Amino acid sequence: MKSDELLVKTVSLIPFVFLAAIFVFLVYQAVPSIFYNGLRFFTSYVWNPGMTFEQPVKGPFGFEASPGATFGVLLFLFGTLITSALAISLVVPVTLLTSVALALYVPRPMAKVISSSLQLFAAVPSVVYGLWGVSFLEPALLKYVFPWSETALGFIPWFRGPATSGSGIVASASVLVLMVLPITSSIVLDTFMTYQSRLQAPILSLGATKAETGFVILRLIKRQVIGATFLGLARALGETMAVLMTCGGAINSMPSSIYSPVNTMAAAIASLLDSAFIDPSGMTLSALAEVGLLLMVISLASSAIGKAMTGRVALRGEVL
Amino acid sequence: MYPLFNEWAANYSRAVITTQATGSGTGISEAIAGTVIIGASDAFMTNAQVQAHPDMLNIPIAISSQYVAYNIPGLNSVHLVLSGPVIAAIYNGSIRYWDDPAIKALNPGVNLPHQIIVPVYRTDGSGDTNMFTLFLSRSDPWWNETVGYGTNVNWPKNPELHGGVGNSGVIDVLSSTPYSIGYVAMTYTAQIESAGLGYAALINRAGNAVLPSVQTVMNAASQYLNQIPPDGRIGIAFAPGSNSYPIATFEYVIVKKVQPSSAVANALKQFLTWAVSPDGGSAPQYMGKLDLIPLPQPVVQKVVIPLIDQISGPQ
Repeated sequence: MKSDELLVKTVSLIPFVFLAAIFVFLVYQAVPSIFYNGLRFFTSYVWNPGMTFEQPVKGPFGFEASPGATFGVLLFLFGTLITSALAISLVVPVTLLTSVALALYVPRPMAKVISSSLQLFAAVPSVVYGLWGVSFLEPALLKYVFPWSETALGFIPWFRGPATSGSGIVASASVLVLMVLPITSSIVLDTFMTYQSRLQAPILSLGATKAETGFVILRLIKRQVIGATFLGLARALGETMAVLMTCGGAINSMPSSIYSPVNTMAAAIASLLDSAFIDPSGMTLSALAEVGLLLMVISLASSAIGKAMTGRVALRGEVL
Repeated sequence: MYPLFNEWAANYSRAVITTQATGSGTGISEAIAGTVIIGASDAFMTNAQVQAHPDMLNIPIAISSQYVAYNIPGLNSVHLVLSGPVIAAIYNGSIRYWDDPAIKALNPGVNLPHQIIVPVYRTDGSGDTNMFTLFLSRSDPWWNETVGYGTNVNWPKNPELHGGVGNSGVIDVLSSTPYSIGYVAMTYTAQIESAGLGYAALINRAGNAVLPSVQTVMNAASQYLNQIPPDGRIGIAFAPGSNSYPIATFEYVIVKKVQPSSAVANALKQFLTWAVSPDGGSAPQYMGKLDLIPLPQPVVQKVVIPLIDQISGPQ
């Protein structure tokens, strides 16, 4: 018995060991970049691999890089945060409205069907969302939405045009909305229905309307709603393919309006990795590892907050 | 290079060749690590890589070229004339509109629209970026000083600069974005045509506007016959000659000089010799199908065969 227990305990540690190993690996890879780029890594938006065909030169602390190389994460960090934040700010109200509507106004069997099909959307590969973004959403934004918003909202600095393409902040955030919505709404709806089954009768008996019932229950599950939001955020922060396809691939220029192309940490890692192998100094690879490290810290933090508040973990689209 | 090697592998009977699609960077590093026998790349190894790995050979095997393609509604059937300095200025944002005087001067009589230009680059590191930026570096001093060339570069600050992943990604961005311009490998001719994009005639070193074609690219490669160093590493962009297309590059195979056995060495030499032979792998049935351009025979005889001869089994 004793040895069985030990085995089970050891095996249960494996996921943690893997996670720790990835973290240690990223730190190890990022060390040259951390020393070479210093704090400038967080204050600069310029990603300059340097002249990779020339002999590498020694930089700060003796770490080698191609001549002229400097790496800053600011554009990618900003892109990750703005697209995720925009997506979440749309996701939360929609999640609350759908949950209340499905739980209170839609017949229970139908609500069950809708809620499980919502969860199915979480299993759609992200490249499919990306494709939809590229082939449908972007042309529609450029043709119909942006010309309207330029005129109607152009007095707000960030809405001033001209928009030259459909890709960028809006397209990426929209695709993220579709990908995050199933996660947040399934959690909130589940929790809502659990509370509702116990509380609806007493609340109604106090003379409350349906809408007031919804409001009361939402207040009770505030904690789970916030948790679901952070789980959704963790998903949005790390999303790669769909964002890579729709973000516009901005480089070395900070976005100046909602029509600007943008870039995110995950998308930048995916797209810059192959050319990083060409850099003989290895500094580009190290800088990408530092981007990865930052992304890992931010999404782990978001996931941990979500987990602490809902008791669940978001793992690439599915909610355990 | 992947499609070409697939065609070759399917038709070459004297050895079994398995292929794998990766980027150039991966191809080079796997050949150095010895996990593959042939690494294919459209950029040769850097000086630092060569110094660190003197046992590797960079063997030119074919030529590839690219279009400077654009999507200007109404003008895509016209071949606009563009020059390196004008394209550099478009990418750095100092030329912002299609009806800029510098573009007008190259295209008298063309009714250019007053629309913002959206330049497009490859977000993934690529040999296409390498040959495009080498052309700009050689034709525009500002670009050479501040941006330079490579599979990924320090792109100039331009809020309109958009990225596409892979050649097909660039074509997607171009076709969905009116008034955009970008660079696309010649191997994507069919996709360029079906997307209805236009492509430019480029001003070459001699000052002539030249359209990309098998002949104009071969002209460019032939111009460098006497400059190609024995190790085969040379950029052939912005070639001299009155009818040379200015964007082209050798496609390379990266192999170890000393192979694990003499049997592997012999099979490899036989295959590479077949690959550059006009009756073998460089026949139009392979090259033409994929819009690659065979090496001119003088280049094969003078540079490629001596490089292949350096491959051997363990000493």
